[in-house]
Amino acid sequence: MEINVNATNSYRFVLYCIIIQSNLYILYEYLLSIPMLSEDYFPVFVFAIVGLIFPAAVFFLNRYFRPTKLTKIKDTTYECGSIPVGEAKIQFHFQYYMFAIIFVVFDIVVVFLMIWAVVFQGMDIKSSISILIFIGILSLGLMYALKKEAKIWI
Amino acid sequence: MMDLYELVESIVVMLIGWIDQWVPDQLAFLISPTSIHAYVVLGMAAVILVICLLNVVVMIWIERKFIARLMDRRGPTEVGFMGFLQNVADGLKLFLKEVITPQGVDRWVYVMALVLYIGSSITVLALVPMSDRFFMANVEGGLFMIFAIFTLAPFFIFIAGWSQNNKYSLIGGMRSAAQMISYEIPLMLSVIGVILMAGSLSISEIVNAQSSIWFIIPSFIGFFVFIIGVLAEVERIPFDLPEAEAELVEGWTTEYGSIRFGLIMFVAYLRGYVGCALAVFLFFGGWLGGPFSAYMPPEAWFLIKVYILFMILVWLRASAPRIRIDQLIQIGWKRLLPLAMLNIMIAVFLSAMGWI
Repeated sequence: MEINVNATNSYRFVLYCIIIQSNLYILYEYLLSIPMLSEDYFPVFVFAIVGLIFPAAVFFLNRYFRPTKLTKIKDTTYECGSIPVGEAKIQFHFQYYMFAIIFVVFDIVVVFLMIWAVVFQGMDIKSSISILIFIGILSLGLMYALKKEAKIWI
Repeated sequence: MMDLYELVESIVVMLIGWIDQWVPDQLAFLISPTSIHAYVVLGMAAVILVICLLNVVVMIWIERKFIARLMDRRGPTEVGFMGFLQNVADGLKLFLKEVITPQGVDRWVYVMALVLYIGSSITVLALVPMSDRFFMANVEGGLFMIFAIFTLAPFFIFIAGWSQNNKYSLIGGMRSAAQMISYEIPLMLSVIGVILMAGSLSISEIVNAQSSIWFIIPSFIGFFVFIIGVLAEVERIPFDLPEAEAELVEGWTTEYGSIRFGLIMFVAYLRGYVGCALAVFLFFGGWLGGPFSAYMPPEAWFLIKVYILFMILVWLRASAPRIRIDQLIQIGWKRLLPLAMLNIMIAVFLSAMGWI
């Protein structure tokens, strides 16, 4: 009886593997059917997976090569030789928040400018004038924001 | 000329031809043309990864030898030819060291942030071609996508710094994020002049547009801003505030030991390689050798340009002192941003006059 169960289980396991394999294959064909992934961007997608697996595999393999002799004092966080005082997961004043906000605005501006630059040669002077007005307004805003910004000390 | 895809495809087709007769009918999908495409892409990924990692080893060797000569030392001499294998030995040593995960760290974030940082930096290599035949993906919006993936890093650095329960790494992570987002804007604005003159976002078209004149001549200001932006993005010495040893121990990498630290250092050089490669594509004609192109293959031209540019960065490392954090932010927002805007104006003017 037990042997039968085991045999069934192993048979099921093989079947399961084949089904997963073919499912992966269907998934793969589905991914290829997406127009953006099909031709040009598919290698980038594959390389992203390879790039994520590479560090994970190195950290995993490292497990079999390194010694492990943990002591209590070795286990503390580093604070130049003294015993650490308190936690570091605190609400800390993030002095750069101003720049983070300006960054969010300007990142979008850069995207607009890039798209405009690609099609620049096929457009007339009106597009340049309107984009210059756009940049001018944003530069005024940036100057105002930078004047208001407080002193930075970390 | 045969490109990398055709080369790998011919090898894969040859290998499949050998095992063709033993494949049962149920598994026939494993040797269908779609599957062969997948094997070829995987093979290309392996080739590009190995070549780029070797390339990074060469760059670390160049840095160690060249900075040693600038400091009147000899640098590594013992392991391998002129100490070439010293980096490999150091990596092996780090691989065999104990991994210490301190108390109080957020273990999941602590490892995942690092994996994502390294993974996203490696992914950029798929979009950085070495020549018009040696590339992984030649996409329309290549430059745009490189920037999109390359500048994911501040987020991962910030959460890695936060997760370690260490005051130095917390401040280092914050500084690093602030520095990277501040210099990303001038970096990308300085590129717009080049895009405007080339009229494309594809790396190969930008390189081919420089067959008559390198873009460093019309947009020299752009190159100046770009190279400072790259220095700040890869945290090299005039801008290595996030890991200022005298103030912050090792910045956001303080609690990462053993091979984790090894991979962080490796990826820092990999980002340096990508930055230099971008500068070469955008301003120095990429793999084009001009009138001397017959003497060397395009890949060699590209690599030589990258190494020379990298040596200039090493020279800067040996000669420039580290700047303060408030100066850093001031330079980024109040000096480089207007300069990048001026560069765009010059490019618009030259392009409107029809000189480029």
